Amino acid sequence: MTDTLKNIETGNTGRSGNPILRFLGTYVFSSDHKIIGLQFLFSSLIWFAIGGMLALAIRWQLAFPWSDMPIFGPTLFASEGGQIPGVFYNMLFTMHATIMIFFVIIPILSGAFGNYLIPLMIGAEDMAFPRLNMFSYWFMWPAFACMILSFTMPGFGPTSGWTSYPTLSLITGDAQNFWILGLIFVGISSMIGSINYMTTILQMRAPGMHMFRMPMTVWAMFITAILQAFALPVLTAALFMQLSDRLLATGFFAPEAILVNDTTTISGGGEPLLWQHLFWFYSHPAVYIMILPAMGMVSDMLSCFARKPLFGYRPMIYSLTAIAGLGFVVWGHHMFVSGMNRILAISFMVSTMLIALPSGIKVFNWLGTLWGGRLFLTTPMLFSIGFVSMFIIGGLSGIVMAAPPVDIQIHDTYFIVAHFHYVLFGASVLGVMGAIYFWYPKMFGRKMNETLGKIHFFLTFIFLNGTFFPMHFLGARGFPRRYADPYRFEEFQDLLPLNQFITLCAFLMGAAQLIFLINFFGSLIWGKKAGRNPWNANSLEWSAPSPPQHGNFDFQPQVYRGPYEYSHPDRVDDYWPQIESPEPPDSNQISPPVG
Amino acid sequence: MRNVLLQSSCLLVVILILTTLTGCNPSPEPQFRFNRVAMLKQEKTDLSEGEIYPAEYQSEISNILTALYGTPNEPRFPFPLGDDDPAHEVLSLDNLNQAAGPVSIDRLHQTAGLYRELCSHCHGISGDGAGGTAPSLKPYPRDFRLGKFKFKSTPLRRMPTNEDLTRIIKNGIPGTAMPSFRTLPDNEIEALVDYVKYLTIRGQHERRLIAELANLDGQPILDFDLLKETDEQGQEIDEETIAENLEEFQAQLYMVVGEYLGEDIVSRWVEPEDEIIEIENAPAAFLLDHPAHATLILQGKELFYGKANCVQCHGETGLGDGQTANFDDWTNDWLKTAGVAYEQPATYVDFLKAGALYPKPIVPRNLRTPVFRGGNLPSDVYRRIANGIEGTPMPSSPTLSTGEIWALVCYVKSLPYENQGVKRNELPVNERVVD
Amino acid sequence: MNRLWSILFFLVPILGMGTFVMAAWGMPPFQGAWLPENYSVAGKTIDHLFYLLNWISALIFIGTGIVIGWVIWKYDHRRRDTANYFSHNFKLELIWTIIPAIILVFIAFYQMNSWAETKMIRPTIMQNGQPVTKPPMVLVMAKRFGWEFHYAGPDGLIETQDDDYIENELVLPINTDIVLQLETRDVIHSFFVPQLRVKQDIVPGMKQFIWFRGTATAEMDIACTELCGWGHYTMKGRLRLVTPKDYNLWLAERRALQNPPIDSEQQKAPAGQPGSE
Repeated sequence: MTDTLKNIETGNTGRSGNPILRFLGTYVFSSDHKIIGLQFLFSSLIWFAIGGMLALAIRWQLAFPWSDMPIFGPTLFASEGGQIPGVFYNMLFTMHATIMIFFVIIPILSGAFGNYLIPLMIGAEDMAFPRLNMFSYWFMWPAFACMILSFTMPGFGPTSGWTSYPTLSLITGDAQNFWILGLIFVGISSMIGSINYMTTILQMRAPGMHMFRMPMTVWAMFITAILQAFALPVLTAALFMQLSDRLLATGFFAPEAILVNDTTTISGGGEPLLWQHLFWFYSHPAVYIMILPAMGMVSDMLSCFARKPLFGYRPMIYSLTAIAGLGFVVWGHHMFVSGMNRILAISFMVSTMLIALPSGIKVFNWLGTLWGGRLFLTTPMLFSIGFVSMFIIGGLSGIVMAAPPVDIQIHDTYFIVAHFHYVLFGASVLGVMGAIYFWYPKMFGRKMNETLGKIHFFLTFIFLNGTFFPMHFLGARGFPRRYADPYRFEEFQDLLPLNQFITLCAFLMGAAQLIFLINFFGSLIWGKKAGRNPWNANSLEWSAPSPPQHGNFDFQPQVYRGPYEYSHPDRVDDYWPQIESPEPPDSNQISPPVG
Repeated sequence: MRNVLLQSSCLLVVILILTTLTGCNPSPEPQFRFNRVAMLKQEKTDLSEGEIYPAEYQSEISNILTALYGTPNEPRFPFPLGDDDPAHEVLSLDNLNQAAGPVSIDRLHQTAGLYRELCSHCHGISGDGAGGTAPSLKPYPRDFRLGKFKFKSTPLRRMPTNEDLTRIIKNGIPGTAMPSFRTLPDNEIEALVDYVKYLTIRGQHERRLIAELANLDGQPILDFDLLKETDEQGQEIDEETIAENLEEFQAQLYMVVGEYLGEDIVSRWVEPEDEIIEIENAPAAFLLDHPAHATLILQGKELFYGKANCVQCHGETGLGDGQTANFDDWTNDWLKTAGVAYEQPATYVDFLKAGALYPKPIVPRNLRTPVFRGGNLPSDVYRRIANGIEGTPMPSSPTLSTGEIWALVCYVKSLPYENQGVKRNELPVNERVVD
Repeated sequence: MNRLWSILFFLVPILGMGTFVMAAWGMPPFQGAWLPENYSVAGKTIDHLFYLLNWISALIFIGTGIVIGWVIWKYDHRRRDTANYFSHNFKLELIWTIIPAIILVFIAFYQMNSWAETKMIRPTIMQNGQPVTKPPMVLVMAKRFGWEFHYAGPDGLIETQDDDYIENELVLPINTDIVLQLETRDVIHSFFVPQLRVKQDIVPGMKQFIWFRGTATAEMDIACTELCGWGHYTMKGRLRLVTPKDYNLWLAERRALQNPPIDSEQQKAPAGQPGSE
């Protein structure tokens, strides 16, 4: 950390002699992509803790329905014996999803790692638009404010689910307005970020860095940025429409004569399904926004620790592109039983089947990368293999429910919950965890503790499966999502013990993250000092100092080869950095210092 | 930067520990909420401006009620006459225990805590109609403590029968937030019926005790000093005074338990079945396929606009838009006392603070939708017209003959379908049916 | 150490498949945590598809799972001096592109009929020698938070004055094509009967039709599966499938309730102006 401080101080940020102003300029209102990346990282981790607490509260209610809920019970509902009302449960899952999707996974992938890694990996000094980059982080703060404000509204938050389907979302409490505003700000932040990433990747690559010499991480960030740029405007428009429906009674999403609470709403002429189409037109690509960067980072980690070139580099890029492209035409599979045209369901089914193909190819390529390698099972490697393993489960259950007749039974049940938690937690979060362990030495100049890391992986992996795998069975049974008390139905009463088991695993999984917390913050102080290239990796960022100074490189990077030249038969070393000149080192040429 | 991170990590750990600690403190055992609205109302009517009843009264009433009725976890019921007490006909302690208490987690093998599982979200743990979801509802959930029930087979100001309460729980109240609990087993519905009565009696009793405060003149409700055999100096009191004191204490006790409870409150719950208003047979023209059916409808229509004067509230079109500035008795109970305009919340802000729900005007039924709150069978509609609806401006109709009431029922039942031949866009605006 | 991790990853397919098979066969502790018993004709096809897709998935799951465990077991860095340097294999890539593609196309076509039958081809009845779509026999009106079931009256049409209406209790005959019309009063609800493999969202402003054919008498829950507000979990209805005979008895009983006791004297003189005295 002191290195970061020193490096940055030697940069151009010391605008003022006043230490407070200097601190603000360096760490708060910084336009350095690395600081912005870290800002995203830290705020996402804090929200991750909040979102996790909400998840545990959900699990508590499902295991011990209506009993005295820890923390929330005594503080908010003491007069009711700590028993939460049903509407509070709705708030819990709404905010859990919103926080995890919009404040954790998207910002930590695109915001934190995208910001930190893109310029370093392509050999640029900074982003193409550093100020814009700073704004992209600072637009997150109004969003944070809106979300926190919405917690203070009656009902303790928005209660219409993260999908926020009208007409329910038009009649719920005022917290919904702040929820909408919050998402609009997040959207602006992502939009600014995506423009910046695209420009940077297209315009700022170091000499010799062709598009097809870029690491998969950068490719994934590039494709993700395109997805965001094209899908987000639709969500933003839809959000504004919903806001005006709520505040100005425009009735875009409200049909006539809905009788709610003894009151007939007159504003009408709208169509609730319109929202679902607009929402999923963004939110299905958003699923890929939440997984593609993790795929890219995992590809890099797998190749590095298998000491072997990435298998099928170009097919990997093509399949990324195919996923992104097809991602725009599969949104209807969220709506098979929604009442949309039933013939249309068939075409969405076909496109969904198609999108399984590139995803499958990626999995096979990862296995091909591991095959015949020389595996170093470091913590990031374990998380990466865990990513592949969990992504297979999430992907396969995706095919099961892509079949509309089967979806009739499992739509909006815990089967769906199991599926997207395998993809978002099992895959994306494991990928992010691996990436934190992997790039931590670059960010802070010290390595995280490997033993703690492995324990963390082991426990997370075990309990994540214990939590999410049984949910498939619940879903097959028809156990519906979003029920505060499913046991009111004779049908589901005997599923209580299984739910208690899931809750136990969820709490243990939550506890296992404390190890990560200790490791993360402890390693800032006691971690082993890391040199420039602690993992003997190839890509450009490992040639820069750890942590890199303002402006990143202390030499002009020149790229000679792709990022995956591990165990090249012509080399003694099992790695071949991208910047290393093929000619024997010339004494005149600037080469990076070793270590 | 490392220091900053270190500090923030320490802060995070402290926050985590604190939250875990608060999480380990379970909520205190729930208590019935004191009827502060009734107390405030009493202050406004009995005392001069700005004066309030001493806080001791509140705790004393709470203590008395707890002694008599127990807590939400452990309900009790005072049966002053022991096993012969007529209150045994009204409710059974076993049923109360089944309905009360925290929700049992393992519902496969036992049922307990029914009220808190199914009802308290809206009706509140004390039956005050102020549960967590209540503020967002319209109409508000029933506040049992007034002892008034809308949909019953008995006349106004009489208590409903078990069957009436059961029917409401089973069918729900269409058009309101009250759902149907048809899927509950009969014994559980029975338990809930008894618990509703228990909450009602407790609430009525509480209101009576609060109403009595004006007569107490600062004295305690139950003066336990009267039971002492020595005075303040330790001198023995002569037997005559002791006897007098005892008599006075018994009088107080009688006031607290005997009079209100036995004679005034509970007795009204005993066998309300005796009071059921019988329904006489309907004319044959009531049948849909009867040739004179249209005539009967016409007769009902005349009554609707004429003698019965339904049009005054339910409106020219039957859309329920005739009279919209009324409140139901549960709101009027304190709103009238506050003596203020509904448009100026500032004048009754005290009551809102004391726990009263923001007043919402009562809306006459829109008769153009085939939804009847008290049930849509002809006999249900007959009872609504004949008996009136307790607590609302809907009056009973002693002046109408049986035949006339049947004609009205016939007309009202036909109203939702009256315009079936008419094009939709020619219908009144908020009549357009969703389809 | 590497071998231990290898075992951990081997455990994923082993335990995954193991628990799946245990759940499918109802072995403790997973008894009941699987597809509920099926009572409809279309449900059989859906179950068949569910099993088929799960078996295909299982094969891929086991295959890839074993590969992951195996590479960790085999290619430990302590047992190898160097990794094999290769970055592509055109033939292999072609194989693992084409075979999954064929499987996916097969799945896509294989299920189309089932979807068409359950959601697109409504049962017909013969009228004047022409097949016409069967009219709905019950109007299901969803509302916050309950189900109103409006049975067609003697005229056989819903939404007329002789409709009978009952809340949260649906009684239907087996071995009959049943058509339900779904509507909602307020927000989006979803009509879900797990044992019949029936689910349909009900959107405000739209009529939805569903149809199924019960195969055996049973009693089951109706659940709402689209978030509809604070009482979403309370939207419980009960569906009883009975024999057509019992159904007719029940219907007659309900219809008898629709009319109050009729004055037999006045029946002779219907125009006798009731209440004119």
